[in-house]
Amino acid sequence: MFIQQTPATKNQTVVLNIPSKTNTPENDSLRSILEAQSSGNFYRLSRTEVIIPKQSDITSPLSYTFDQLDKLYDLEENWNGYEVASPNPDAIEHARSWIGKLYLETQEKKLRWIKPHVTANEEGNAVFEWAKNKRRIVIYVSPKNVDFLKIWGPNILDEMIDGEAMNGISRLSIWEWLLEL
Amino acid sequence: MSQHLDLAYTDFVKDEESLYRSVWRKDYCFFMSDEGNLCLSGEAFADKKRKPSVSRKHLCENPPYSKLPRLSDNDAVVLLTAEIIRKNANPITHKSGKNPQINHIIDVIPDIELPNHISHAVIFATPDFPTDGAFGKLKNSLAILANEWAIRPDDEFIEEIKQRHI
Repeated sequence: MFIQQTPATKNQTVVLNIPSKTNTPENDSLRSILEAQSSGNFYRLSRTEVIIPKQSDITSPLSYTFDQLDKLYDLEENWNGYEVASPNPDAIEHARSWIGKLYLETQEKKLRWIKPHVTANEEGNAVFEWAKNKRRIVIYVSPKNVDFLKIWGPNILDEMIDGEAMNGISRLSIWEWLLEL
Repeated sequence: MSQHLDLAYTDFVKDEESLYRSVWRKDYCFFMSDEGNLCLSGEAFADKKRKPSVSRKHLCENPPYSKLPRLSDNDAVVLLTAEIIRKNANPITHKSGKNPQINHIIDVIPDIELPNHISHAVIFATPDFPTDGAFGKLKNSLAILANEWAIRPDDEFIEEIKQRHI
């Protein structure tokens, strides 16, 4: 859910490495929101405020994912019965921004989109997961960082690689690896 | 002597022992693969202390339906063996940021300090995981290794997440 947004500063130039060839109305709206969010040009109000625009109107391929991210706000401490932290709101919003960018980048490259599974870990970070053939990708989004885990089997030493996924190059590289097989 | 034997009995988890993990909040712990197969999320093993709890089958009263291993009546329950954990999850080599690389040895030990049930055991790392990055590897390994059901999620739930995936 994006929240009603009010400009905080004026005349600030925003430069984002967002693909320019994905000029569908849905992607344009998503792009403008991501730009505003990244530039810090908008206040984020409480999530009970009026929502503009409605997710389902602007980003249908992501609307389900955004809804799932919203639901993370409802998880309380110990939500899984094993004393885990409740999801961190800043991690949730960072995850929303990250997944929006990944989606736009995949569309620019004309890559297939697969909906992520949305969950949270014991630290309160947001988590995205995909499984395709024998491969899995797990993305951990904290308020400041994004880390990935590529998995192709249960053996931790030989069948997993981890790293950072903060920029477009790393995001796309991970996505292409998932789609490879 | 008898005390010594009792201690030995509860103090070591044998390789062949079956271990249960109860999976609550199924919508956050199960998902569909791209091919439509039900997958267990690594977050099914999320744990505040980075020591996922399991229940030793032979010490549960009426497994898998008793509490423990089942935390609530609606839980799914998956099955692992100690051997498969020791074999596949060892060692975890992890480097976090600029910190030196650390090798973590993974094992399963009983953890019956009150108020824990006598069947309670934990999967743990030596040394402890300093960050959630290394623990993420363990959780995901366990999720793949736990490929046997003790209590499968109900069909209605599976159909629901299939629909979400479309």
